[in-house]
Amino acid sequence: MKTRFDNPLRPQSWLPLAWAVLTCSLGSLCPVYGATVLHFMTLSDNVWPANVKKVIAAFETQNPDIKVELDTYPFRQLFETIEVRMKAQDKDVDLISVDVPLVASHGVRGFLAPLDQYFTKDEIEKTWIKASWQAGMYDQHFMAAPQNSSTQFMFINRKLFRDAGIEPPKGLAAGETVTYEQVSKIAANDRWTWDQVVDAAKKLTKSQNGKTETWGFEFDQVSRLYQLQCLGDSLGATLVGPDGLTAEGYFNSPGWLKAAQWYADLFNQWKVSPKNVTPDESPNLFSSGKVGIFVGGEWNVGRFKEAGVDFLVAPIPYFKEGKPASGTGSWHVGISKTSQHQAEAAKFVRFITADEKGATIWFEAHGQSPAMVALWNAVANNPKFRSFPDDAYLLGAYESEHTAVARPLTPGYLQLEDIFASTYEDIRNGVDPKEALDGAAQRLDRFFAQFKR
Amino acid sequence: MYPIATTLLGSLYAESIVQAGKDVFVGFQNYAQLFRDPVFWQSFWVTIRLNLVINPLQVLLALLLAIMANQRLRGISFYRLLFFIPLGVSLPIASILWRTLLDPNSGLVNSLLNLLGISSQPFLISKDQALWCIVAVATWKGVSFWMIFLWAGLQDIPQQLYEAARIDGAGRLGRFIRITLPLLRRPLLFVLITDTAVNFLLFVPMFLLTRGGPSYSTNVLMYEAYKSGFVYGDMGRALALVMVLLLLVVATVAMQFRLFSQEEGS
Repeated sequence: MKTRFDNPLRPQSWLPLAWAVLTCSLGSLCPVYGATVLHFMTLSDNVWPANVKKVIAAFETQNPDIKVELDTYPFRQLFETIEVRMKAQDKDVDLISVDVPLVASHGVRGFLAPLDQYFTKDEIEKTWIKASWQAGMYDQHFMAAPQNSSTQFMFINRKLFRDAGIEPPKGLAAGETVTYEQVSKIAANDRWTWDQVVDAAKKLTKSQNGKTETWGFEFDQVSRLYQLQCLGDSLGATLVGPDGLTAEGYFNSPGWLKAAQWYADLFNQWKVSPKNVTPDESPNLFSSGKVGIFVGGEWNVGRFKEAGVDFLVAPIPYFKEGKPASGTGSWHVGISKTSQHQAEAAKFVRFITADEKGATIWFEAHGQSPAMVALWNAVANNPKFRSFPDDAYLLGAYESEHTAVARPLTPGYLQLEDIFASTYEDIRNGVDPKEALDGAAQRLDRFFAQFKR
Repeated sequence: MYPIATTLLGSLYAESIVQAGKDVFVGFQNYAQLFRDPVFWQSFWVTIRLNLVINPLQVLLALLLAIMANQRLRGISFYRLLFFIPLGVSLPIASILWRTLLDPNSGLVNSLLNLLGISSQPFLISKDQALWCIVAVATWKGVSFWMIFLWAGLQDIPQQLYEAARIDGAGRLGRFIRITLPLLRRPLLFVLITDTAVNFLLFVPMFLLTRGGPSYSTNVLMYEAYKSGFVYGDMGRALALVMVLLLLVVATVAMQFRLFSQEEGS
């Protein structure tokens, strides 16, 4: 039997199809038609983009005439892409995720539009904690608003400790409630030293048929500056001189040499940490029960809970001859100087960083230490944050107040970060720490020279 | 010529931080700083070492595969298919695949070595082995591509020449040296020159597998140029590095041309 679709040239045959295509095309175009579209260059790592999208959804409901689209890149590529697109004065970039030590570098090179006209000085001081808003300043201008702060914890796999017959450090665990005072007491009196960590890690490392099945210890962001800075800081050593542009004598100081030797020994002498594991892979080792002690960012609390690991959270260790030191500082949001929609972009910056609704969505979704005063007050007053794992925020608050050390302030942070990572990768792979640090210090000084011309 | 002129011009400028990121003319200062930098010289020699090995290796293997693919044997189609598999895998995917295979803790290659009674090797995390692992990965990926040109060249050689030589008593080796190689000179020259240019600019495996390490042992000039330009934001230094690389490629290719034309003359 013949149907009206048998002859493909007859209008009856192709009109329905054409109508469907047209409807679909218009349907997909309509949401952005007439709206201002902001392009946000940010991270693609793990759950970051999904969490940012939750804030965007709420923002777009409040501002139906503004749409925010994400341009996401992995951690390392984000910095490189910002360099390339900002140097090319790309007008399609409106919002930029700024890792806080880069505020000075981006500011000095004219990548960011100051936010002074959108936030008054009084508002800035009242909205965010001092360390966070100060980190967003460059040359007396407010260049980037703090999205969140960060802290570091030591995570203990309780099952592996039980199996190895080791008493774990005091910390925060499931089934217990704590107050800020109790957390402070643990952090002040019961914090492990790195020597205690190594002793336990040796007992936790188990091999079978020549292959290591369980590792004693692992860092989260292996070989990265943010992760390892606590080692040198604990020994009172800084990475660069007070001018921010001298590495010789600082990057390879006795304190950093001791820290680097300790790091080398983890992999090569004591063999308690795995080689060739990337920062993307290392949390999975703890999630899957392959690592006994994990020192890493607070953002892992939710991840490990979701993975069903039986863990406790303890303060970050320190060298017994030094003092406790923890990493801090995190992501800020800035507006590209070349953006054609700076006023709209400022609305989004305000929503995600300073608006109680937007900032709360971000805090609840992503779970990192907030930078906003109102959110810290909520943590202090809400009983929810006294039981595990939310009580980790109380420990984060203690570390922020007592042990946090910001990353070095230098316009050459990109060089410092990259050379630090490659140097500590070499050290992890067996290169003599002194040789590696001396070579890196000389190299850094050659690069820093470009900032003096 | 325009990109070369732009690169040359750009290499004479540097970003001035004290002038808010403005590019200022510095003459040959970028080159002078480069030649005083031990990391540049290390990258220079790594690039030379890599190319001294990888180019002859890839051309020889491509020739060998082309000869094998050109055979009229039973089941040859299956082997031809095997030769072409790496072509269908992009270099980034191949690099990530090989990173897993060469993992010193749990990689397949070390498991196979252990089965043979050989101890596990560090591969990409060893400064003595990393460069050669990259040679292996790039060769695995690249050789079948170059094989295609040589195979096409082999198919252009008239069969009558081989038959006549056989009647005259020429052996397999004699036929290869006296017929195949001379008539394959043009495709061989093309492959050698293009392969050389490609390998001087090889960058993806270093970027994905070693990031120039360990101890700068895989830090080729191209990767150093990339880092200078896009990680450190020092475009003047990056362009100076690219100019050095360009001169190196031109000098090598000129030498290869000269070598082939001398042979042709003799």
